[in-house]
Amino acid sequence: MISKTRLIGAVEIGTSKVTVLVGELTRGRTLNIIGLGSCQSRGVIKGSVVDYKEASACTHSALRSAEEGAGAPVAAVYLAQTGAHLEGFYNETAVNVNAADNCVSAADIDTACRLAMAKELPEGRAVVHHIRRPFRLDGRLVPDPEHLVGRRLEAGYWTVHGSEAKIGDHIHVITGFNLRVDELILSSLASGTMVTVPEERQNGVLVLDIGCGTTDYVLYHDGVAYQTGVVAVGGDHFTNDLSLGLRLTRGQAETLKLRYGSATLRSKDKQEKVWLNGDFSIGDRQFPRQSVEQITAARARELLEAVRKKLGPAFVPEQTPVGVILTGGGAKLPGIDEAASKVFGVPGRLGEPASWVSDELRDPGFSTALGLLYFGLNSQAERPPGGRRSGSIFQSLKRILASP
Amino acid sequence: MSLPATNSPLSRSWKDIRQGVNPRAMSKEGRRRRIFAALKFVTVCLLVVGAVWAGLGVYLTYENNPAQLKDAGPSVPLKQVVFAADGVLDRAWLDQTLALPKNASLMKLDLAALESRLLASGQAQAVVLRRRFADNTLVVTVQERTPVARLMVQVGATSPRLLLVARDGVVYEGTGYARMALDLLPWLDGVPLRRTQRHGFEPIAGMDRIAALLTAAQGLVPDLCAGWQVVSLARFASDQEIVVHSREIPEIIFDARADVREDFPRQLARLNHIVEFLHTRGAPPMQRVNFALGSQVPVELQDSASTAPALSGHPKSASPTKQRRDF
Repeated sequence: MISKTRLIGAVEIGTSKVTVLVGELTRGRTLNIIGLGSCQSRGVIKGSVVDYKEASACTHSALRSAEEGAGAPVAAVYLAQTGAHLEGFYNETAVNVNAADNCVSAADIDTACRLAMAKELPEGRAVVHHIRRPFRLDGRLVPDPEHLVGRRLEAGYWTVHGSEAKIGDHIHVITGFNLRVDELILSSLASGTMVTVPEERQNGVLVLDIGCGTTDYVLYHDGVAYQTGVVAVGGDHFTNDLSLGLRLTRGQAETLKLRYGSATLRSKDKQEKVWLNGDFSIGDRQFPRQSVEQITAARARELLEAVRKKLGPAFVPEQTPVGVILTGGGAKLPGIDEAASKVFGVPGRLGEPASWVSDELRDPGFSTALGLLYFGLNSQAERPPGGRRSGSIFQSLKRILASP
Repeated sequence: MSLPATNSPLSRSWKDIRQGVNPRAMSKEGRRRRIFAALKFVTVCLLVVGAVWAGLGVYLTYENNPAQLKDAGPSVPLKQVVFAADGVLDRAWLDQTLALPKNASLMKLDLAALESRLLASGQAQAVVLRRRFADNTLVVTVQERTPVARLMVQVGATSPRLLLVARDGVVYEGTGYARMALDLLPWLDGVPLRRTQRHGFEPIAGMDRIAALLTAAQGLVPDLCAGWQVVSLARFASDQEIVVHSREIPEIIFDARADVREDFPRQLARLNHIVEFLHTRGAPPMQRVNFALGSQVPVELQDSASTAPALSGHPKSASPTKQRRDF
């Protein structure tokens, strides 16, 4: 039974920052964001916790700040999960319809689904998501085959799994605050749900969430997440390249990236110089602007090509008419949409959060945390119509992802 | 052919990862929240246990001794009784009537019973009892009846008792009245007293008419009224007549049928006129005068055996008849 008002916490422990949002879910329909906590991340590299104490300290600080803003404690959170350890595979199975009249029953569907999810993982791996693709009944796509007539029912799942130890580290950072993790959601799914609409997901769209240490992507076809993945390249690599290429400290390189970095070559004048600080201080010096842009553009192209390569044959430009939508902190790099358009051969644009999101949270860096709350809203609003659906939050996520 | 689903083991999910954490691995804030949550849990448990315990206690009491549930809780003893009356009743009467025990509890006082006890005297027409918890006081306010007439009653072999009759017909033993005030009241006659089950008497019908007559007489003809000794209701039930026996006129019959508010003053004015008329003419004292015959007022003088209509219409137009030669 749903209580009239429920506080949901959304936590994203990223490489550069930890973001916590507290949403007040009223009657399972209305969501008000009533608390925000954010702090610079420590003890996290490429989305994985490497220093438990440091990661706990900054995460707990953000949680406390969000709870103070909300004026009430949250009992449980939805936690975003990213990291290079996350992998995915597709497993499909087919069953013959049992009934004499070839009418598909709930038992047939259950059997097909169970078999499709039954692939065993290597030791030390744990499933994060089972994302079902549309059923095929005698070769035709059907969202719900129950009571339809056919001979052969095919079910397929995109299974996302990760290192049990690394997932456990993430969870223990939260439980160290005496909070329970109600749901673990892939960062790309959260941000993808936030910056796309069901029609776009139905037509086909690729969402890239460029973070500081990793880039998460999700490819939508037929209204469901067709493929997900993580590339261990993010905004930090741009900074690192600038630091090495121009012989700068990381701080200076970060400043230069934010001021003059670009994913495409914009400066035509090779002689154009830019100041490192621009305040005439001791040690301030000039750099050719084109050099900065060349370094960042090369890294951007490499990142996008890495994603394209990882997508492999799953990405077909003709089946992705909506194009590439970019979000996350790295999406603020000028020209990244243009670069993505060139690499993928489809239109590229920056992701826009929903209209109900306040100005304070419209930054692309909040899309994952917002997506977690958005997921919470939808999972509470939806109820399983059939008996074979267990009604768990995971099932709700699947329904959201599969909704047209 | 479908494979049996039960033979397909599901992989380990992130939900299988234990979410518990060693308290030592928790941050200071996490430990504080954990302690707070534990305290909250213990408090809720205690409240639930307490509620169940209380509910069980109430249930058992209800099963075994339901009357105990209605008892008021202990309270401080009654400190004082404040008394206010609009008549002659005094504190001694109140103490004697209430007969409250020493160290009586204010909460345990049965106000309804005390009110009945006070009203049983008859002299108290209305009683208000109120608990004042601020200073543990019982406040008693009494509205008294005013006597209109008096009765002398002898029941069996007992000595005669003086009783008073109020405007509403209630018969009661007056307490606290001055003897002189009682002597001014006329005696009531011609009344069949009927005892009630509570050792009192049933209210007397027609007393409101007598009260109206006496009130009008005291205002209009106070000299005549002072001589009224007996007021009789003997003919009230049959003829709607009130008979007054006074020192000057042995029998005055008043009509009690009409609207008393208008008619008694008119009858009294006529009586006054007749008395003055006869006095100025040096006529002998009246034996009987009857106002119950409408416009005709027969007057019987003490030395005249015959009675004739002496006055008709307006008193000014009255003229002595042949039988009333002395007018």
